[in-house]
Amino acid sequence: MSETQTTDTSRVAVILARYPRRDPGDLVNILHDLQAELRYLTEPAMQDAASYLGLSPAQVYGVATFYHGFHTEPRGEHTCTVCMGTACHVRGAPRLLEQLERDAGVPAGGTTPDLSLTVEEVSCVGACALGPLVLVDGEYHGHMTGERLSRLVNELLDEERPA
Amino acid sequence: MSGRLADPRALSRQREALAAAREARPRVVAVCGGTGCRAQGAMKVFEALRAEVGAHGADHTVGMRATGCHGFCERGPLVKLLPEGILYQHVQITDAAEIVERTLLRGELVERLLYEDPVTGERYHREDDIAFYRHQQRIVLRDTGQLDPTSIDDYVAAGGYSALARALEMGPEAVLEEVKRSGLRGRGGAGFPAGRKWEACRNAPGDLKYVVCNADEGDPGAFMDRSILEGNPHCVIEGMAIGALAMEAREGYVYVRQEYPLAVEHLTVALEQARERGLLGDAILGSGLSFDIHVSRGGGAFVCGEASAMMASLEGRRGVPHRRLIHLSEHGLWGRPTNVNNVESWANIPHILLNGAEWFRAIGAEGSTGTKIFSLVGMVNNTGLVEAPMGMTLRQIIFDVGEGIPDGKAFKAVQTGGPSGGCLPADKLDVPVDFDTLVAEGSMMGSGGMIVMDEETCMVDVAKYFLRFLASESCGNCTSCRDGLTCLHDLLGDVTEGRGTRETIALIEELAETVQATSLCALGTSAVNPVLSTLHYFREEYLAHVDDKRCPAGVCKALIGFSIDAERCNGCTLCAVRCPQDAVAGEKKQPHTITQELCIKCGICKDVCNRDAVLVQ
Amino acid sequence: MDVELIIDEEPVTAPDGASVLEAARRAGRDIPALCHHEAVPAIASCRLCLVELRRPGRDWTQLTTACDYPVSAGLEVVTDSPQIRKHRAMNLQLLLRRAPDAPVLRRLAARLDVKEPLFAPVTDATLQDCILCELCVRVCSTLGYNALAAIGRGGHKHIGPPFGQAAALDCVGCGSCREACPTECIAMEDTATTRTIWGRTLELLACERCGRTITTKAHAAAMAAETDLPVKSSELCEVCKARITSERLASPGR
Repeated sequence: MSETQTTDTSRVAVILARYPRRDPGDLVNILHDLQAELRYLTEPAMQDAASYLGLSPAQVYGVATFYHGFHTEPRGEHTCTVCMGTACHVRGAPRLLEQLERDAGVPAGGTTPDLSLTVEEVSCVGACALGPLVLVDGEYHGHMTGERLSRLVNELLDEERPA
Repeated sequence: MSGRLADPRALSRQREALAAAREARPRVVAVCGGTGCRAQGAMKVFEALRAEVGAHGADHTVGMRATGCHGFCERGPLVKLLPEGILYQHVQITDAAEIVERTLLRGELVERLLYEDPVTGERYHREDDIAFYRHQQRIVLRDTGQLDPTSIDDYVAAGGYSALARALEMGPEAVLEEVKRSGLRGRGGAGFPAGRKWEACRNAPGDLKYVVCNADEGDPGAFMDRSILEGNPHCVIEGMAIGALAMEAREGYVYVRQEYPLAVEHLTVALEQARERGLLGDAILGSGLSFDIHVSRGGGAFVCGEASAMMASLEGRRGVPHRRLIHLSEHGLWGRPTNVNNVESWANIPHILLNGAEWFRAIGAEGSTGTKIFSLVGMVNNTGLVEAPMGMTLRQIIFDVGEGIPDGKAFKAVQTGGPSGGCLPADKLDVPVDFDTLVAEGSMMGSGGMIVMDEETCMVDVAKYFLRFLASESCGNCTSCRDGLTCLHDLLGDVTEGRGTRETIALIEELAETVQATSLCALGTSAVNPVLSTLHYFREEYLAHVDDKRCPAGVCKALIGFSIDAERCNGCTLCAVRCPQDAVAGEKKQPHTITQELCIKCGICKDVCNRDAVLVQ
Repeated sequence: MDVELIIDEEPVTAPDGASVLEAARRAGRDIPALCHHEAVPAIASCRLCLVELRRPGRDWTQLTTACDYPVSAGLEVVTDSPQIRKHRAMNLQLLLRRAPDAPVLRRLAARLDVKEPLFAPVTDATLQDCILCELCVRVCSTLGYNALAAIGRGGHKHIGPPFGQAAALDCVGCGSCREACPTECIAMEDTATTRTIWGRTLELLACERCGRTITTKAHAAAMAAETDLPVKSSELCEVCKARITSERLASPGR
């Protein structure tokens, strides 16, 4: 096993140990904790969770893939999320999402090949008065315009490129 | 102050002491720390104000408090100065010095930070005088703008947990009676009488019962539950403890959607504090009630707002609803009697216990007692959270509280009840907002989302938007919902992209009927409300799309064109520079033109034009 | 304890705990129910087994699925009506979109007089002709192997091994999923010595006596583990086992 893998296994073990009852009912909470630690749900992490809880890998994977909050693929260094809630929609969110997809070169849900940026949409983060809203790495940017978004994205993409 | 409170008398004594301490120092700078204001830098403003207060040596006389959501998110960052209730809006770090020097120390108002009425232009300094707040009746939200949600002392000082003390005195049956008589109906969407649900749970056989708070708030455009949990989590804890007493439950769960990390954080802190003080856990306030609450996070699924799907998620499974032939009150979580109520429902309970069922019944309307929190958003001047007595009309909420549509545009429709609701047109503005009237008009109250739309909103596009949302949120169990909603979305795509005919509309109506009639859960059965209500009230708009291939609101890309008004264009070239497709041609200082074949209708040219020269037809 | 209910105006007796679908079928009604199998829990996915029900004392009927509705005394059930046919036909149209050539759906289309498809067939499904009824998942789970998952949700839901693996590693190759599948969309290929299913190739167990395929060795081992019987006892096919038994019974003095 590589060094990264052994470190990951022990990180996973520490998290699983927080749930001593080994109750399958804790699966969703466990997946949250694993994802917070590893940035996305890796296959080994889900396998370990399955054995720990007495579930089959298929059962764990079925649960993980049901919920849009869980990611089973590597994530970009940065995440740019356009809120597509109704209030943001009537204030022009779809155009912002299209522009973001164009600028980043990946569709919503996707990550740029160099893993610098993940593009996402979410249906409502509850800051409707500030719509249209874009989140960058969890930070809220309200009253977003096409222009500002373009600048933001270029900053994020350029960051990873050599000067 | 800390340490277990041994009994209700200890709680009263502590409340008196805390209230007295606060009265002795009435000057408080309350900065809104709700998610909306934080997004606009509120916490930095808080730190700046605190630093200024310190710099003037006033730390001992001025309290600093980061509160929950004030409800008026559009005007954030919001700062309220107590005890006068002076409200400053759009406060920046650079305003901190002036606020402290002029207002706190010299009693002068900083005019430019005062709320300016968008219609009359008048400036108001007291929150209670502002139109947005004046027409509201803030009971549940009263404390969210005044308390520090991470301070249990603030909550106790304001009377917190005294309802629980009263409930302990009354006993379970009396508490149940009070809730029944109040007429409280669920605030999450279904509007079921809470007292009846509580009674069914209380009477269900079994000694292990659960009370659950459904904080999955999935309706896009709704954020009242978020604000309550972030801004005053203790009121929900107290409500649930009272419910646990009445239903003889020992364990509770709060199921919070994963998109609300601040709510989870504040709730977790509040639970710890309540336990430390003996208000949660074993022998609460020295009584026979033992009750504790776990926080469970959702994984990101709108369908988990449905109670049986939520329970599946709580049980670590895929959030698929199941048919409920036996009520969840008898057979719920892990097969045990479970009572599920929404955040706002639980938050009403302490007020009902303290003020009595008669007081609650006197508010609101017959059959819909009490207040309801609405999230008034979209194309309206004053957007934010509005708590109003049931029975207020749509017109009053949108035009008195909301002060109407910005930029002089015309009201077109208001969408209520989230994706399960419908769109109501202008001639329905005088409809009173209560559970039953809205249903009769083809919509519903739902969780209180109220999205205002103006003449530039295309109702066909709105219907398509909701179908896209619901199709992606469908759990996928039922053919009718899973595939029916996808097909309905595709058919609406035909309409908005110019491929629709009258037959398309007929098929939409036929398919919608089957989705409604044969889906297992409310997501499926109510998913067709947006399309059916818009077809009912805005049929001409649909017909324009299919007969004339025209989008009257100027939204549907395939049916509109962007062009430049040569008379208004001054040739500044800004649009040409910004156009991502190089579709704009023109010499400097000469009117520009858009090449239609290259135009992707992204709208950037219209955004950047300072001369309003870009036309959309 | 038996329950008496009324189906299409005729009294019918059914065991307590039976579903309305089971009771109606026993009474000879041919209600289509593609996602139903008596050995696994009902999930009412296909939405074809619609009936109209009225509970005693109520004055309204409801249109609902029969496979997940338990019988009760005095329940009135109608199994055929214009409303039932209309909605059944529409749900069938939605299923045809996923499996346009599946024989069971074509037969149903003929019965319901559904001639033209209303919706273009899906082209991006990971498993062609799968109607997402999850019978394979439920059967695999009931048998204890849990090798298959329903992955994702909504229109993008699909069935398969976890982690996007090419092979279902917990699959023992018993083939029960294939037998249960209503549209016959699960591929299984047997050679003389191997079986390939869900991306796995497993060794087959042949009958010692006649050489016929019994099942896979993995399946036999799994069954032996569950029943405490030695693996050896399953190396005879059912036909040969029966023959040996009757031979032994026939020979005197044993």
